[in-house]
Amino acid sequence: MKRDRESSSWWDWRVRNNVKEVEDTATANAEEAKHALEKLVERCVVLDNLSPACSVHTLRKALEQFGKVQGVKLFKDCLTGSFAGMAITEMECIEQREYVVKELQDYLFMIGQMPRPARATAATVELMIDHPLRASLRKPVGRLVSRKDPCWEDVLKVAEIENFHHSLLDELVKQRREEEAKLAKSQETQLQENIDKLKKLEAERNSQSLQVLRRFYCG
Amino acid sequence: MARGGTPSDIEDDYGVRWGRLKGTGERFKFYHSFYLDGKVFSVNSFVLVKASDGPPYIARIVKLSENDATRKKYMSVRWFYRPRELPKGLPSVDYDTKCREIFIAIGNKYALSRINPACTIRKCRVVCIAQETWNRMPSDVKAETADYFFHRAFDPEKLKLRRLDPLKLPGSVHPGTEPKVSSIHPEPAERSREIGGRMFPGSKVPGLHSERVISGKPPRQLVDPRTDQTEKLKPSPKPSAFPSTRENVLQVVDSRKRPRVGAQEDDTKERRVLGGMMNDKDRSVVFPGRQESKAKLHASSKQEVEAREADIGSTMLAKGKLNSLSGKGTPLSDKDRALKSASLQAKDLAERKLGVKPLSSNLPRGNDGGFMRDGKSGETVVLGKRSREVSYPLASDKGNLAQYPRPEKRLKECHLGIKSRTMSTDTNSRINPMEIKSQIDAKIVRKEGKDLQKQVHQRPSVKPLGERGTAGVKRDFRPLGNCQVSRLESEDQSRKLKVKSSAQDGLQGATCRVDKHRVADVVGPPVDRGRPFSEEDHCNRYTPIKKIFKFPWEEKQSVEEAITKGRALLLKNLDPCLNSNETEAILEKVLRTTCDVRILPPKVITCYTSAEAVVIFRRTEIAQSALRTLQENVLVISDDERPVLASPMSMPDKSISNFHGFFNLEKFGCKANDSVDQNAGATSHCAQTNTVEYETGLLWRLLQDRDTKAWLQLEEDHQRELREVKTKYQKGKL
Repeated sequence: MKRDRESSSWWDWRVRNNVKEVEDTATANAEEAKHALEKLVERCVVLDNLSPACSVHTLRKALEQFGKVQGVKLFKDCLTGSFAGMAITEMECIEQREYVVKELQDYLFMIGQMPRPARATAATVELMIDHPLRASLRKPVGRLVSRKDPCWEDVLKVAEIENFHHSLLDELVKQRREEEAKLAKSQETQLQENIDKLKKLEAERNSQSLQVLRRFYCG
Repeated sequence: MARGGTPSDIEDDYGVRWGRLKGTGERFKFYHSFYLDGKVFSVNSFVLVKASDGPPYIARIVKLSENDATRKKYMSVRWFYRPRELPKGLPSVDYDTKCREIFIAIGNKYALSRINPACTIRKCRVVCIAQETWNRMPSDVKAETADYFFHRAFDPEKLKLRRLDPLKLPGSVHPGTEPKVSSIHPEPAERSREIGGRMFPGSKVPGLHSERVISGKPPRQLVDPRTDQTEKLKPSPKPSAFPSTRENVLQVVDSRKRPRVGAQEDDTKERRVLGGMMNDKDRSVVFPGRQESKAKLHASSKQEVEAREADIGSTMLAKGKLNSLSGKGTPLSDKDRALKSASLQAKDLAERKLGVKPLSSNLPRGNDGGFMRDGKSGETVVLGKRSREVSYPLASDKGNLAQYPRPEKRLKECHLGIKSRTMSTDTNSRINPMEIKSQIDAKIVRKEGKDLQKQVHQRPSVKPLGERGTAGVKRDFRPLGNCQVSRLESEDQSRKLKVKSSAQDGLQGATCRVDKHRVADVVGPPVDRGRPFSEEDHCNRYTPIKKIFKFPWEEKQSVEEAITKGRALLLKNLDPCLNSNETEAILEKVLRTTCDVRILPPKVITCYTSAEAVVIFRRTEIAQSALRTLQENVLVISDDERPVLASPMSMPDKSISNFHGFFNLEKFGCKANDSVDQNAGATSHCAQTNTVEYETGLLWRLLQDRDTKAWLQLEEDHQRELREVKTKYQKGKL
């Protein structure tokens, strides 16, 4: 039932002859690991709104316009087993990362498919999901608070608030999806119309009305 | 007192359940024992470890640890060598398979290794009979009924036999060096134990008694034979028969070298490494742990070594002579025999009886007898019986065995032989067919082993091994690929047959269990020199094959299946910085059950403050109970006390798919652009303002930005609210 993390690296793709396999030394003590992780995170970009057709190499090629790509990882959704539309890439240095983020913010960068542009943000430690270096960051501490516990009420209150918040978030996500679907649909219909128009035009290349129009527009 | 309690419900992938926690280091947790297939194995017990080829290896559990970060659990063992694993030609080593002498491994490189605890087969009894001052010799009963004995060490790097020197042995042999060992109170049973025997009932239930005794014992040092326990051993009913005579003999032999029992007790008290160690006069292990006695012993032991060796040699000769007598002994021997047989279980007795007859003439050779320090013929007889028992099944097929070329047939015959024999005795046969099989395997592979030995001595060129030769081969004494493969084959055969055979319930259970989890639990000591069929560290460290999801759809399938069966829960508001492993650890601790956590990809990347995860349990009931627990009580994680929200997981709504807005141009009837077929990079571009694409893209961007803003706003509000609530309660508290 478990995935074996040791067999494969965290990254989906890694540049060859990488200088230091920092993550392989995941057993380093907490300080080193934290330091190394931070260094790593500084260079990473998180991409969003990627198309399902994106592959590791697509991303790599796409981002190579901005700088040297050291590693790519695609997030997979365990429920659907497929690509989740998000990825993390590691660039060579922090400047490149900034450059990528800025470019993708200013311009509509289409990776692989259009017209949904990709979005990039600077990576944070939280987003490096299941990174082995992250293991030693904090000691996992958890406890069950039962009714008899003195702070039961506080915790309960907080839990309620959180619950509400999360339901709001879920709603937001759902709404987002719906909007996306709507937009996509409208754009599709529009595109279809355009294509139909084009086809019709091409078909009736020599029609009368077209000649008239041509003379009108092109002089 | 059952200090270990019940084994935790948490079972890892190999069916190993971990017992009582011993202590926690900085990054490791240490345990006292673990359960596997209903048997308990604790630290400092001698076990048989399944080998990738050939008969099982003998090892002693030194440490049971779990890495906190990766949550991998290991068992550190110290290896023992059987004569067949040593290079031929060593002096005074009896290479016969019947020989029960083994050698402890020394040297820092190969003596210890960490392996997966699922590779243990069962416990065995090993005694140290080294005649050193620091070694508390086992009683004769113990010595005879032990499976193996040792009094010498083997250095795998230098391929030399050495005498046992406690100082040379790596430090971790001493349980005293293990971190944070708590003092253990003496078991009342142990106190009442007498020299001759052990007072715990020979029940098969491991969780109760044997565990009790095992866990109650103080961490034992190397040469205490009495820690080596099996679950079944009845005390000698008439211990009084032994003490006087034995003691006297002991005195005679070792008087100048070893103090008497009482004095020794004092010595051992001093020499105990740990403060709170139990003072057990029967089980004093004379390891010179303390500084003051260390030097003393060292000096004294050095002087006595030669004397010892000579002594051993002479006793061996004497025993050889005695052993050559075919069982006719002094009247005392008969009495001993009776006593001994009464002291063992009924099956044993029956088997021995059976064993005695055909093999009365095949008494063990000098070495087997050599382990007995005093030349009591009675003991030799019993010893002979014991080894006879072991070698009995071979004898039954003796003629056939050597000639059959195919391992399966041989094993089948042996199985038949075992079956018929066990049927004639009591139902629950004590003889472990595996042991027998190992003997048979030994014979099967001995031929190959001989070839191998030849090759080994001829220093064959290094060749990559068949199956597991991942790492490079280091040494000259490396088995060739074909031998390896053939041995693996034979082992596979034996394994297959093992599953089929119904010779023993326990075995059946074990193999079935093993099959259920991951078969081929195999391990080998890392030494290559001198072990004709051993492999490199890395590849011999055969971790049982874990199910690695090579393909994403496998994972998806299993997850889907889990969800549809109701085994999954959805957890929200997790700390985003925690990895799956750690979350699993938390859940395990809190819910007391294993679970599989899959952190879901984040829904938004701009402000990712909480994670969501799918938790998969083994069974629906567990999932439901976990849900109830999590909903009735609040699980709070990390320092900032985030409450974790649990809810049943259902398959996500497939109607609204994730990916919108990506046009598939072919769908619209456009001719596939050349660029689409080409290098994918060609299609990655920034949209130019004068294209249709730009406008559509812009709309998407608008959507994205709006969404991000909404998220940020929500999060902000939420944080504010939380802060208010928390300060309010802080104020309320104050």
